[in-house]
Amino acid sequence: MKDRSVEFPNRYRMVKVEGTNDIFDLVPAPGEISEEGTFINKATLLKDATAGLFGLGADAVPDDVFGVLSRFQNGLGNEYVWEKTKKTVQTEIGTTGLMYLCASNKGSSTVQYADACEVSADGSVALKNPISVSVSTLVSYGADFLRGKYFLNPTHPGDTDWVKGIVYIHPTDGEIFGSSYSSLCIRGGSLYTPYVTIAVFGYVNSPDPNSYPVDDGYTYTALGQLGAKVRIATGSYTGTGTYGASNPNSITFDFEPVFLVIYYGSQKTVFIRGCGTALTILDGPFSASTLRGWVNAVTFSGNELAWYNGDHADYQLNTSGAVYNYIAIG
Amino acid sequence: MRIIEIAPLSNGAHRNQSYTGLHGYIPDGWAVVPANLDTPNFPFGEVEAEEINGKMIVTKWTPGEIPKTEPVVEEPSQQDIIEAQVTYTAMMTDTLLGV
Repeated sequence: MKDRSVEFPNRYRMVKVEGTNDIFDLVPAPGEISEEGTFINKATLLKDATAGLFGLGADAVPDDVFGVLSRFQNGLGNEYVWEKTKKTVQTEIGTTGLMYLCASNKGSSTVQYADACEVSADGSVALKNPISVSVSTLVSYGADFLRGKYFLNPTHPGDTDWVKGIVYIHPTDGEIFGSSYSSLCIRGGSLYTPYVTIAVFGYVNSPDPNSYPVDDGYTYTALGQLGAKVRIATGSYTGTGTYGASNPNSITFDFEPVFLVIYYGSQKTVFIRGCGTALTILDGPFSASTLRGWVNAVTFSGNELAWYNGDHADYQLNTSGAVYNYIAIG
Repeated sequence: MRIIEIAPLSNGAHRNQSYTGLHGYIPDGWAVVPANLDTPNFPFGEVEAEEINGKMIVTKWTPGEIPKTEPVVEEPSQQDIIEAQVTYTAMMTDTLLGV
C-alpha cells in the first residue's frame, strides 16, 4: 500500500451550494499531488476471493479474517487435519493376442459389463452399475456391444489364456468372435486393465473434528489433532564421572518421554517408561556375552528421566568426558 | 542447544545435555551454554551465569582439572568362563578342533 502525499493535506475550499446561504460543499484543495496513495476500499482491504480462502462470504470484513487467524496464534495445536485425496480409475494396456472372455462350459454362465468403473469401499476397482448377461446370449447374438465397455467374468477357470478380473475392451481394436465350446474370444486387439490411482490434493484443517468428510467427491482421511503428535528428540551429554544414588544422571525434555536409547560406542542402553531398570547391550547377537548386567535404577517423572548405578560411573553411562548420544520418543 | 547445571557436582563436573528441542525451556538451576563459548575440559570447570532476556546464560567458563578415574575391571561372564575351560580341556587332551 502507498500513503497519499500532497502539498496541502488539510486544505479545502468552501463552495456555497446554489440557492442556499448556509450550506457549503467542502472541495479538497491539496495543491500538488506527489502520490495518489492506495484507496481504502473492499478491493484493497478484503476481496471476495480472499475472504473465500478463509471460508468467509462476500460480506466479511477484515476483522472476520483476523478472527480466523487467531486460531493459529492461540491454538494451532487444537486444529484437526485431514488428507484430501481422490481415487480414480485409470487403465493400462494389458493382454494382447487371443484371449477367452467366457464360455458355456467353463467359468461363470453369467458375466457382467458396464460403461464405467468406480473405486469400491475397499479401494479396489469395481464395475459401476453392472449389467448381467448370460454367456449363451452373448455367444448366440454376438458381443460387439461389449466394445468400449468394462467386462468381468466372475469365475476365472485358471487357464492362462482367459481374461482375469475386470478388463476394458477397446472400441475398435481386435476381433470379437465365437469359438468352439460356445465360447467368446477376442483376438488381434488389446485388453486394458483398470487400476486405481490416488491423487493427493493436500491437507485441510478445522477446529471441529466433525468438519470432514463432506460429499464433494474427495476422500478425507483423518490425521488427528496437530498437538497430539508423537515427538522425537535427539541429543547428547558429556559424562561427569560421578555415580550413585546421590549423583544420578538426568535428561529433561519438553515432552514426556516413553522410550529412550542412549548409545556410546558399541553399547546401547534402553529405557522404557514404566520399567524401573534399564537394559544395556553391546553390538552383536543378543546373548550372554553381549548383555551387560549393569543395573540402573530408573525414574521417569514428567518430562525428566533420571537414573543411577551404585557401582561405577561407566555402568551409570557417565564415564568422565565421554559423549553419550540419545534418541527419545514420546 | 546445550545447557549445563550451574551448581557443580562433588568432583567439579556439571551435569549437562544438548537437545534439539526444549524451545526456551531451561530447568531451574540450569543455564544455556552459548555455541560460541569455548569450554575446555568440559564438563569440569567453573560456571558463571546471569539472566539475560529471561533466560540463564553462561557468561564465563573457567576450565577445571579432569580427575583421574579408575577403569572398571570387567568380570568374565559365565560364557567366557565356560569357553575358557572347554578350550583348555581340549588343548590338554589334544582334541581341539580346527587346529
